Amino acid sequence: MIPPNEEVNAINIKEVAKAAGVSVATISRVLNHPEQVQPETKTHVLAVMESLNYRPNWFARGLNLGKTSTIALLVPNIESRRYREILSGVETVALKKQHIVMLCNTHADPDQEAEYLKMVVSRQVDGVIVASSMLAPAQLTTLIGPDQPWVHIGPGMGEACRNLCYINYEEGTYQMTTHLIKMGQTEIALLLDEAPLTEMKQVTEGYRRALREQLPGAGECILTEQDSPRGGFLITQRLLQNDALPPAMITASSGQASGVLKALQGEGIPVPEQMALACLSDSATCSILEPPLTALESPNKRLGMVAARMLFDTIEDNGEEGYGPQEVILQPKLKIRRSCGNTKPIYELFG
Amino acid sequence: MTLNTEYMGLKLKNPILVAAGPWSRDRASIQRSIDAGAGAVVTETITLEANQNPSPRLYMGSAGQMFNTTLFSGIHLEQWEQEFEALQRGDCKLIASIWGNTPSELAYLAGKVERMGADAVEVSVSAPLGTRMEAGTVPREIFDFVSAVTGAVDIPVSVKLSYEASNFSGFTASLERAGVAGVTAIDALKGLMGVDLEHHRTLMPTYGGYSGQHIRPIALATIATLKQTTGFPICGCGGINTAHDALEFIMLGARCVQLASVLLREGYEAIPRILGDLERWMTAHGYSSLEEVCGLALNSLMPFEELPPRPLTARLTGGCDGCGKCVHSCLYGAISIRDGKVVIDDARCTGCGMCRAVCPQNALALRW
Repeated sequence: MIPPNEEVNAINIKEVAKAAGVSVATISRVLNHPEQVQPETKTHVLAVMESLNYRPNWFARGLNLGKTSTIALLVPNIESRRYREILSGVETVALKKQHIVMLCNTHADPDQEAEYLKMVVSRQVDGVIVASSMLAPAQLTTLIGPDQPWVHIGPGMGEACRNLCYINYEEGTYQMTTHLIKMGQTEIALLLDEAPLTEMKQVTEGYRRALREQLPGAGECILTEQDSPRGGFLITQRLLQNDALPPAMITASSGQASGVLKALQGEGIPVPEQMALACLSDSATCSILEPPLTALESPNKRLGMVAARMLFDTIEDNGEEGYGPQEVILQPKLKIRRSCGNTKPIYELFG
Repeated sequence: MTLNTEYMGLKLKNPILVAAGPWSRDRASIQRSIDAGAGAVVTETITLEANQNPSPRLYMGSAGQMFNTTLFSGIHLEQWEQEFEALQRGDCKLIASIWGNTPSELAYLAGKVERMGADAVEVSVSAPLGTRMEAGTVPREIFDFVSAVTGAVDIPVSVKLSYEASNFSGFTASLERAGVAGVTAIDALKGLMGVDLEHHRTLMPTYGGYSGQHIRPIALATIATLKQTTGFPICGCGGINTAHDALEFIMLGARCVQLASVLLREGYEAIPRILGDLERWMTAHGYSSLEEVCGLALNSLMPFEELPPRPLTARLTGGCDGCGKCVHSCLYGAISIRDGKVVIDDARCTGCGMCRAVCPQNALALRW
């Protein structure tokens, strides 16, 4: 049975000191600098703690040491798979470093993000990772403060951020659009999430570059709709009704694409024969849908791991490691399946 | 007699290295190579993520051909840090193999492994399956990748080359400009073990790395090419099973060699066996150092155009048991058997050498 909270907290450091017959400072040294304590004193104190079921208060401890073994991660939308995977990467590294991750979901709201930043800084976290910040760089740095180690996940922070990492969606979207063009498509629509996320600028730029370079004169078609199966379903029905269904479409996610697919199937429109379909975020669903969806695999977990590593590089830097500003860019991988007209089992030379 | 050699400025106690692969997957496995006496050990390829390997992933063909679908290390960078710390390296060097998909990713990893205490970095650019660095064969992009690494670390950087990359001068020239200190050649080739005719299926579900003794001739030609077309110190790799094999690479100019698939078949005992044989050969032939042997055979190579036209024909030199293999192999109909003995028609023989090659008794020779 788990004891109620009051029982766990019933014993404080003073009572442990009294029971062990030593000073509070000695107890503190046993917890924080055991190497400075006589071995027999240490054994005695640890035995007393054990017998009293004493658990040190980590927040109070953090105040004394200036270390809380806690890092904060701010994400705009925890329901998105991308941010869950980033969290998984951050957590994997944090666990290895014996740190706890404080998760803050900003709901893509700059005010909420600012509020969270104030809260985590006042809780004396050891470092902060902000994913896809909605704040201006200058505002971010002011809120975080000059001495706080922090990392931004996402491009375009300028001089404000020493540690930056992101996935190159521009190149990824460029490759995906190029693949569709190679498959003979000349009218390619891009369907994005209706919420303005920071990566969208990169996505749009990659899409536009491919059109500019490989289909000069072709018009662009950028649509927005909720990033969900329902969103994909609804916009497809609307396009069908308006007789405006494009012959090729890149969707924001596999969820959105599955909605598109469902609507198309309802009308008996075959993919890829009458419409080529691809999506910007690969998932396990993509390979089991019929036809299997061509998708961009984003190394989100790896991105989270890089962000956490850069953060710990800064936290642990005692001046000897010589870590300068760091910027790591990861590359998404285009997974060519059957939904855009490819029929080869292994499409690429080195698949 | 000494087996000491120098590679990329690293002083190696001997030229027998252990290649990147699952036999170097953690502290315990690397320690076995160190304890077995390897001159240096290359880690299994470290990436920013821990990778899951498929099962099965190792295959062997009916003629002993080796195939694998293994890619990268299955443990995290933080864990590698601890593995590095716990190693008792002695006088063995530790080379970290790394892979990344972008220049900044590779540079970050290189900086990490340098801080972890690696003596050198080997950049993997040509794994023949899965996530090959797609920029791998474009000189401009490979320059960006590799110069990001050389710019990030002070330790020497080598690149593990595929057969294709080794034979592409634009690629190797980019590596020279990028400040690479040495090259390892060759990485596994791309292969498929075969097809199950009854079930219409390939014997492997995807392309695999093809390695082992069958690729050694390809590796030898590549070493000879690299030695002549680049200034890099070369580490030979590809089907080295014996001291004899290792010496072939060294006589073509390699400073050292890496063992790989032999460790899968024989275990780490292959290392002391090869080292012992190497030492005995050197002593028996009166060499005092590897330097005296390195590149010795290169001068015997000549361009095809320069091959001297010699009007040789086949001669029986004795020991023929009349088996008739040479009769069937002669494209020119120059050989027949009369009274159970081989008879060669000089007027038809063009000196191709095939009969000599197939004779199980070694009873034929080419003569003026």
